[in-house]
Amino acid sequence: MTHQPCSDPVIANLWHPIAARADIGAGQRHQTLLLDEPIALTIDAAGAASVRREAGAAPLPILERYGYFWTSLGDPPPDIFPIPEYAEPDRRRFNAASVGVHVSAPRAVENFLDMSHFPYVHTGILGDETHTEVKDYDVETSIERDEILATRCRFFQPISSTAADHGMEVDYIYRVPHPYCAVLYKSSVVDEARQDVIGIFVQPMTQERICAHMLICVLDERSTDATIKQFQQTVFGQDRPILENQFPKRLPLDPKAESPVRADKVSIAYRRWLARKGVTYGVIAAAV
Amino acid sequence: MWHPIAASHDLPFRHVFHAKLLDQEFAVWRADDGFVNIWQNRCLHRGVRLSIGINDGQELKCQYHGWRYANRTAGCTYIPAHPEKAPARTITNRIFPCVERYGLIWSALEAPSGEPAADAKLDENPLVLRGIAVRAPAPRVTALVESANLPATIFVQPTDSASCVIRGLISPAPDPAEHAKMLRHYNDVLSALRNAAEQRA
Repeated sequence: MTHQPCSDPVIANLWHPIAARADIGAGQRHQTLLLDEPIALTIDAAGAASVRREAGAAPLPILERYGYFWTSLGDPPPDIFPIPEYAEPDRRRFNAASVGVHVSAPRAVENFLDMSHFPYVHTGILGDETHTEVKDYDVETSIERDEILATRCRFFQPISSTAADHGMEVDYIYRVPHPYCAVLYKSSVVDEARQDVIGIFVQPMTQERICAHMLICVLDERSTDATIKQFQQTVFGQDRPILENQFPKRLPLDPKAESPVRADKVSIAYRRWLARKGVTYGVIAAAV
Repeated sequence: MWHPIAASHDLPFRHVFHAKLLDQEFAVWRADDGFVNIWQNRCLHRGVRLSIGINDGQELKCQYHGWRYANRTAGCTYIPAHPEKAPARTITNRIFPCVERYGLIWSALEAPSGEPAADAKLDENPLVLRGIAVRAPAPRVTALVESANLPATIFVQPTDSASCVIRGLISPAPDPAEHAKMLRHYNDVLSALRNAAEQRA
């Protein structure tokens, strides 16, 4: 199958994650796909990184943020969205996994923003079938910050994190600061005043294939890295077969294409936001 | 026209079978009352295949958000995110025509007139062969089947423009003591036919 290069300037001009620093050693070359184009990330012996379309070609822009390398095929902004919590020294911070999935980037983001699947897809962990109601929450699309914010989200979770030893109602805040990236803040079991932060940074390999990079930035002094990673990988391993059985794989932006309910407020806002930005890559645009 | 899309034996107790006809995917399931449902293979909510859903005997439950759809009507009966609220009547899945006959499940994209395989003069309970999926267009496979001139009734189910399923019947069914031998024989014959069809691709 041949792919047309990305003709969506909104998406082409963004920063996109391509790998976690921790996964690529010095002297290594990592080949991957971004927006249908083969690219290669090279780390030299001194640890300096560069990205190119092919050997000898001009380097592409590169940025290292939150433990990941980010690049762009277009003209990217000076920096990516802030996550101030990442700088807090007492947090456990690492890439939990980079997982290939046969789905579009926006479908994966939408799944990350969804609470109502917890009882069915993450049964016994992030939800259970005796607590399925999604209570009303607030959604705001900030023009100034150019991001979506869902607040006052609450859900009962049997095991909300590796630090949890009993079920509890967990408060969530969701942020969508980038068309293909989302960040959630959930009640910390360790410190009532603070929140665990989990990010999904989706690398669009093609319109219907992604690599989902998962950032962990949590408060947990007891668990090993392996335990925290295993928890996240279990959860994402439950989402993956759902995502790969969604049709169409691209996200339909026409409000009548699928049947949202009140619990899907944030998904409705996300689809509108993508449509208003003029995003065409990985979506099915609404008929005009 | 009617096409076979599954065998009756593909629908064991509370199973959901994934079928395809002319590019259209179906979720096929038998309710505990015996009724066979052939639905578009998508939950109306977020497009997840219903063939990975759960058949509880009365309703089909989507794996993603637990939406339930009723036997026969395909109407959504329950949305767990809003347990107090009755789902809108408009949330009803697309239903396709269904006839169960000769050990096969028959369907079509639009309701056909007449009965399935009306010209074939079949016994009501023939021996149903294993469905053989072929990665070759239905017309090519049909031509090979015709030239093989087998003493069996063969239907070719067009799944999409590049593939099909060979569904065969032995009518009337032979003596039960002969079934295993017969099934093995036709498995060999039709597998060879499949190989021939795929090699020409």
